[in-house]
Amino acid sequence: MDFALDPDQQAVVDAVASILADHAGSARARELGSSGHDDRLLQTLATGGFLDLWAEPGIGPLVAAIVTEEASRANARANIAIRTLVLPSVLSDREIQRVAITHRDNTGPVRFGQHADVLIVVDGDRASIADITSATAIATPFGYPYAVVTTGEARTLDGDAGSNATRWWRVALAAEISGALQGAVAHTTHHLSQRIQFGKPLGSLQALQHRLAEAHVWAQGAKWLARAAAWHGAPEDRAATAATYAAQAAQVIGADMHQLSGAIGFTTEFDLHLWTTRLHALRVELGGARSHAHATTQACWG
Amino acid sequence: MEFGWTEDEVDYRNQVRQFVDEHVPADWRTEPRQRHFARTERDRVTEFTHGLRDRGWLTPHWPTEYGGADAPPWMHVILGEELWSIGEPRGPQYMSVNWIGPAIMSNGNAEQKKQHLSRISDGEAFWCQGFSEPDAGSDLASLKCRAVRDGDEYIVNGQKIWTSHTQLAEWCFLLVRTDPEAEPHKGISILLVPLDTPGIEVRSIPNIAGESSFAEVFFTDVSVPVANRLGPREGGWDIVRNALTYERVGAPRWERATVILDAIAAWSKANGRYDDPAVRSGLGEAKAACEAARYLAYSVIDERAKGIPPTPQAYVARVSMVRAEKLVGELALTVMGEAAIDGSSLAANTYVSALTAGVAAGTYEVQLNLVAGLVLKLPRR
Repeated sequence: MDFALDPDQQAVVDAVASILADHAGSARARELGSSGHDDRLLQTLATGGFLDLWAEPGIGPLVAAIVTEEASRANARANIAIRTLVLPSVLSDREIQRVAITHRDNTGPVRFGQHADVLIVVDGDRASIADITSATAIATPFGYPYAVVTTGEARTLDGDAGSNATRWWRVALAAEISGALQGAVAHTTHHLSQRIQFGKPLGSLQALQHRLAEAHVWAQGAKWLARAAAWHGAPEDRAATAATYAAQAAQVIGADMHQLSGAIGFTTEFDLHLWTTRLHALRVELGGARSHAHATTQACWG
Repeated sequence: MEFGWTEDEVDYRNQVRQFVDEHVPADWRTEPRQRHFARTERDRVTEFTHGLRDRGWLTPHWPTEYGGADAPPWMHVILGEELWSIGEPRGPQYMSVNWIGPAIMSNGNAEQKKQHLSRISDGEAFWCQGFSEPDAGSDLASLKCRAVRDGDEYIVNGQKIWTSHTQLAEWCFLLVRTDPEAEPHKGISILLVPLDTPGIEVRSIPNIAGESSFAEVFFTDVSVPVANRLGPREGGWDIVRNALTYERVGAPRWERATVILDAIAAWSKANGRYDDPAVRSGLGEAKAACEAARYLAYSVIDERAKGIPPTPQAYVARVSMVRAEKLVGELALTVMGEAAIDGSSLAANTYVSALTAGVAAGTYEVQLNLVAGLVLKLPRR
């Protein structure tokens, strides 16, 4: 067991961090707005081969998960998670860049639906893929672009593509949530360290310190569970466990960071919403924490 | 970065499991409950630790010169996980090999190392820790138990409380105030004190667990040789602070909580509760909490394996561990319902044990203070 990146892993993470520093961040997220999609960022990552790390020997899904986490922390506005962690688990097609995912029981819109060329549809153990032929964007407060989509003829994917996609979707959600958790906690910590009330920084008050400390513990736990699940190849129990914990953390932190930030936290001029609105979107996807918890129980005890 | 066990580690775990099957008395491992050993069970505990010693498993993570095998701390963790999940048959010796021995290794003089380390690595030593006092609990640095130098001896007067393992202990790792004028944390020294020294009185304290797991210890004009002081005079705080980072992740409570979850799942299946969606949600959520605690603890072990000095990451891990234990304790009650009321039930034991989780080794709130200050660098109050 080793919790530090090896030189090869570090080189990839550093290279991606450099791209994110140039192409992502809060200012870029604002420029694109919550309904926009950063095709430029996705193309840059693709050109560098960073969307195809999953099958790379010595790099693999673990680093793909860290890339997903870092992109989310940096407020990247592109559907990196599904492309890097889910698509390669069901299909070896590096030509596809813009991909979205949904499941048979989803009665809501599809995240990134208007910015995807193909859609993976999970139906139990089976899954199919189809071209998206039209997409109607919907208005939402939940930080991502969403659309109701129609597709062309679906192609059934081989083998247990449905369960593979579901396991990796859970890891992808956990990694994406993990990054957003870290961003939200860091932003709130900074704000409370600067904001003076009662003649002292709000962050010096024990009641607030404890909630921030608990948030940090949640975020750290989510990070390591997502990474470990990816490294182990997303077995059912670990994938569901990581998603359960991450979705619960998203609920706690998505609410608490606003409570701690006060009124400014609800304004669009304050960056907090760039992470928290996405956290709430991610925590309800694929059935949310309860569904992940049931999957955990099923995987562990039958 | 990788999260797998090596072949050697897997092999070692399997060997430990086989050893446990063959050497842990059946009445010690009927269920994964926290066990308190009576004085009369001392010889049985020693017999077990001798068995570990004979295989080189009691202190594998120690340096060879002190009776270890220079093995990575992961071996110690694997042993701990396997033993905590069945009630920790090493009894208080888990504490000796985990942090008391290493504290003596790092801070003791040649004579102290010779006297104590071989006894610990031989599975002979039983220690208790004399830390808390009636007016110094979470605020440990305010302790008042006084040691006054008198020639080659210290004369100790004062009281300790909530002291675990006194029923078996022969030695006490005692925090005393040697300089009452200094700032609280700068006036503390550590004495290694035989518990049978005249002037020491131990009174057990009944508790809600129904077993006498801790005691108050009174010191009245107790003579302790100056040679028994560990480390420099008034240097006790730094030693104990480092020692406690080992203690905070030293007991693999995440593993015991996980095994208890298995037992709750089995009980709910046997009693028709397993298909209740609330039970299935609770099991999954508690499992996730246990696994988060496990990986946060492993991140601390990873630092130790690399020789990195203790970091605040141990506090993060401890917070997570407390939450996991409490969640499992609460789940045991809600799933088992009225069946939990029986004092001999797993749920009753688990619930009471979970109550203590946020108090032992520094309260949950103290850990949060440390995370806020040392990790998040929030402004001081």
